[in-house]
Amino acid sequence: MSIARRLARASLAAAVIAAAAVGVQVATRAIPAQAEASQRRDLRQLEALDAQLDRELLRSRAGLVLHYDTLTRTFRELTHTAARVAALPDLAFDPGDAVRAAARRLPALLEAQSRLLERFKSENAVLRNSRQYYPVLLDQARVRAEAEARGEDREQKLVTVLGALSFFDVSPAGDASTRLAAALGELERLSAGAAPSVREEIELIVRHGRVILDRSAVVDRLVAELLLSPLGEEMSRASAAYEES
Amino acid sequence: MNARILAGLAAACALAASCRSHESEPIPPLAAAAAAPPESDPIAPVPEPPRQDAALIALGAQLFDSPLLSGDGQVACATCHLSDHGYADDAARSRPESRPAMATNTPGLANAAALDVFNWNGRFTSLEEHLDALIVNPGVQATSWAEIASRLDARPELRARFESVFADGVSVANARAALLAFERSLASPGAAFDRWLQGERGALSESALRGYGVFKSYGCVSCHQGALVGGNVFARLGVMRPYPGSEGGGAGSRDSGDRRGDRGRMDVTGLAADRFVFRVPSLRNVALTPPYLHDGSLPSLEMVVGVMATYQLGRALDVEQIDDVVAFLASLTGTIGTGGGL
Repeated sequence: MSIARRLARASLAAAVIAAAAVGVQVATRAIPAQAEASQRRDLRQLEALDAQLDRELLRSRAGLVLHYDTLTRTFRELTHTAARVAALPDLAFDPGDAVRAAARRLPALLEAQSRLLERFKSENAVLRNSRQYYPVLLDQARVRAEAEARGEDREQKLVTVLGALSFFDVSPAGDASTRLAAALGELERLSAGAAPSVREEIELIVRHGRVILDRSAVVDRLVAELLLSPLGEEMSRASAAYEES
Repeated sequence: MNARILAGLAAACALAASCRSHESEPIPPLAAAAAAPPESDPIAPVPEPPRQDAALIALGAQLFDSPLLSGDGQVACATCHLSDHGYADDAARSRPESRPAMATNTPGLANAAALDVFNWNGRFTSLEEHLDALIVNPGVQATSWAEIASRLDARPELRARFESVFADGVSVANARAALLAFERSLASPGAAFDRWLQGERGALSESALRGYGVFKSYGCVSCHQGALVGGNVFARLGVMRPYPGSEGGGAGSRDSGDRRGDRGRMDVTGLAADRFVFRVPSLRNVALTPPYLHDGSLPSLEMVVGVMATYQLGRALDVEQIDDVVAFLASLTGTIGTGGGL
């Protein structure tokens, strides 16, 4: 083989190796770049999902959504996104203390939020159960009272409970709660001298009524706690710190 | 020649470095998670299973039926999850070969891909966690993934089967992936209720329609909602009346409630307030999966509807109402099979 051919082969080999090295370098730099973009996207996504969770929560509480699939799915996405953020991918720069601290706090925040959300769903389900059944229950009781010779007083008190409930539905705070509780108390007093079947019916109405009263307050407290959860604020701070870094 | 080899190597290096590995990418949780019910409706048609490789699902089905997945070679997943019983067990509490009885009734596996929590107490939050726990549980499979992989690898026919699906043949990760793919593929489309929801007016009988009316107006739907008609919320058994055994003083024929399974969610949270709190079961295919409740104590749907009305609502339903609700529940039965195969 001539020297010229050997030189040509060596040059070709060197060129190929150099090209490969450049390719590998470009590709490995692309990974941190991808990770950086993905981390930025995830941080923003977390803020958006947190806002979406709040919205779904309020819609669920208001009875605009009658199932928990959307709420559950939103929280699942939030959890998956948070897990990626908390894992802190291999970045080409230091994301800063604020981001690292947020990543450390995320699992505990999510755990707390998950517990609150589960409690909200459970309490809200009990509340809805009574709230959905109540009109049926009151109507059945009213029809029975109407058919009885001396059922007028009971019928009147049932109508009062229904009115107080409507008022409570519109504005559950303060006066409305007192009014509903008073109406239930009045009805309950009738059960003293009533026949066993009537007494049982009144007791059931009062029990469901008190579930509506008590659980509404519990559910509203849970909604407030969820809305005030520091997760969203934490993510906003982390996102801003990430942009700065 | 050398130059071509070098060039090939260089290209391969560049390609390998620039491509992301797909091995660690999680399977999408549920292709049709998007199938949440319309907002004004509490229930939606059952979701489609995620799209997965058909050969992988078939391999998973074979593993699901194989006793090689247990330490003593006696118990398969299918021992307790019976395919002709909605992938639930027909015993009140499963008692696999030479093992103690389970703490609770074995739930069905259909539509598992759409669930976020598993078991009556919600201990597991993914199918992966659930499967891993059952494999090592001494009362269930009593083995380890490494032992399973070794046993599978020792069977030439299974080794060949794995090699036809995976380039690297038998491995822990591959066996696990196949089983999970099979479990995720189990769906139950075609229920009469779903067809009715989708506009087929004659799909439901008059009785089932009345039953759905009772189910909604009596509040059952406040817990049993969503595409799976439950499965996504925890509830106390005995909301309006203490359930026998839940307060330590048993009424009726039930015992004092000291059994392991009765602790429910308390076993996960450690909170006494969570005693007798359970994951609300999905009612999809419920007609196929007696006996009912966490302890399998109720043999028929009629009984369970009556008991739910008594303890969750506080009043008895009449026989016609119970029959109507049972007709509605029967309309939730779909055709259970593997789906989503590509």
